Amino acid sequence: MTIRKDIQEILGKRFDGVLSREELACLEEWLMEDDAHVDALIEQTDAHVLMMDRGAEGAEARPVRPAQTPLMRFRILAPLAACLAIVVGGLAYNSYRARQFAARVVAHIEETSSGVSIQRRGRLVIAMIGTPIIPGDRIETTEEQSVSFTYASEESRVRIRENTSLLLEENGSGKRLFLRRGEIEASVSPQPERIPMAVLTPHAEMAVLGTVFSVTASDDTTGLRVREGTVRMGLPGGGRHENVEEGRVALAKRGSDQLVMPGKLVRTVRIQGLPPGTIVRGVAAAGEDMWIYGNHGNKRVPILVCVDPATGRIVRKVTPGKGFSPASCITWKEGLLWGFSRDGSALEGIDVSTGVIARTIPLPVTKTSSRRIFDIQGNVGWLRGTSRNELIKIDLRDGKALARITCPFLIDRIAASKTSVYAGERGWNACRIDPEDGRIAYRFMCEAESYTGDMAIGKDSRLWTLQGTEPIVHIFETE
Amino acid sequence: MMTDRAQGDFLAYFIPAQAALRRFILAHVADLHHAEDLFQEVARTLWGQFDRFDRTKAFEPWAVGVARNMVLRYRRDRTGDVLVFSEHVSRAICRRTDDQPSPLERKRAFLRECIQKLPPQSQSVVRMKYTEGRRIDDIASSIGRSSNAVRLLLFRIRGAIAKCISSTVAGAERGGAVTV
Repeated sequence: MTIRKDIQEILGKRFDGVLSREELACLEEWLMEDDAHVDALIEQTDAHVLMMDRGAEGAEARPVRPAQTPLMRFRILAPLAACLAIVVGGLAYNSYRARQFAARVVAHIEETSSGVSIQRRGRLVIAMIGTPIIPGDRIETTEEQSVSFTYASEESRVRIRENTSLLLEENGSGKRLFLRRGEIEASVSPQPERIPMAVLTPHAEMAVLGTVFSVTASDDTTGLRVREGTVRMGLPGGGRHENVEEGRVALAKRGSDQLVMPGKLVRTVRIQGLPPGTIVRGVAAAGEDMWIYGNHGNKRVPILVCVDPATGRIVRKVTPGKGFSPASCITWKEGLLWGFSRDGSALEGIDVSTGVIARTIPLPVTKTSSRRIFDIQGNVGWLRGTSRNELIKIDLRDGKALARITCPFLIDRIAASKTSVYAGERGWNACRIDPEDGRIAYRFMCEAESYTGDMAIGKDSRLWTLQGTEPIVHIFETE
Repeated sequence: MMTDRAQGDFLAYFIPAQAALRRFILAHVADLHHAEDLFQEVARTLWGQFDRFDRTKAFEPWAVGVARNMVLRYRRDRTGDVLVFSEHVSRAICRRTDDQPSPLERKRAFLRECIQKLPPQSQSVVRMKYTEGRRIDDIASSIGRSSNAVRLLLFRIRGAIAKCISSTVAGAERGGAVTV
């Protein structure tokens, strides 16, 4: 039976794992035409499965057979010679196989949880300390498992975290790691400049010349965090490439043609026209507008202004009737500008057209820290507790505390939008928090220092961060 | 957590059944990578449930039974993003597979000699693909051909291997001389 060339190509793609939905439909149609077509598919599948299972060992070169010797002419000695030849041949073959295997060993397991599996040429190998790793090995971990390996020829070390699938390759193009899902942490020794180590995920490619970094891959995002040195990251089909430097994070999203680098400085806005000596306390995003809250003079006279974020010029001034706490951050929600009440027991919303407090939300906490750090996300409020590393999530409808999250750092600012929450550390660092469970998705370093300044998420999803108490706002890239 | 002895015990059962399991999964899941993922999940599940396996019975039917349930769940839960054959096609594949005269185990014995009958370049491609696990584009650049040409070559290689094994098995069953 002759199989159409397009079907040959589709079947070839199937065993290469690059079949499209349209090609599958075409294949199914062809299969249903005739039982002989199904048989052809089974033939292909069986041959594939058998070769996977045996690792195609028959295709490996065989040792040279011993040459015939004069001894073999003697009938009495012939059986002995044959036995000897078999033994020598067997030893040579085993030695050859061992050398072939050793030549292909690129790394060894250094530490491992029990039960970590390695897929090798279709077989399952259980990882143990010292287990050799050869090109083509796919290491799999499940929940609460981890495993580390060290490259044979150098000090480079890779730790594979839980629920991870990692395929290793090494050839003339250098070391290659295919991270299908999960997380790896790598400490990579200097690599030859022209053949960097490559880390590939479904959404990104990374070139590493010698650095410490971690990569996570989920169904729709790849995240890179660089701890030392620089990693060059790009999208698989080209597009924007970035050098991701120490302390920085970069993200590649499925379907996006751009890398995202949280913390990359987009621009800096200098607020013009504030009274000299103004201490700026809060920044809020209201659509295209930027609101700035602060106070000046010995009497801490409150000042609330709306600024054009493109120029930094004040476009509107509001005199708050009662005023927020002098150290309050601010946020915008449902047409009101919100801040902490002076006694810290409530959030107050000012109508910016009148400057009058239009609504008050009592807080479920009796005490918060002296600096009034908070933000609002729909019906949820996020505020810093009395302990500077405590983040409290509250339901603004009934005032109940929904969660108390202890962060591994001191919180100096919070910004929330409909889909994300960011907490800033003093200085350069910030982190993205999962709004559902309060877990830290990742920490990143910003390109400009913000000290303890408030922050907000702009309409463009960028992070607007005050530089301490100065009239300067840095705008950073985010997801 | 299983002991090393239990792991060894499990692998003694599991390894001979791997090919049949993979074959079963590939009859349902069209995409190779997802089939491999599911194969991994099945392996882990079998491992987790190994203490429930009745060792007086054959391992492979039990393992395929577990795989069948997982395939059904996989089909139900992940049809949106996974390429699976329609039930109609899967049934046809399973029916024809069951009708095959020689089980996979029987075919396995002749794989090596059939690979060695391939032309040297085909053997080399088989080694790169199945021994070294290299990607198609990598193989293509190694032998100076396009990725599509390598896929077609592998298609023809698999066909040749299948035919060689079938005729070798048939020859062996007739008890006569084996020719390919």
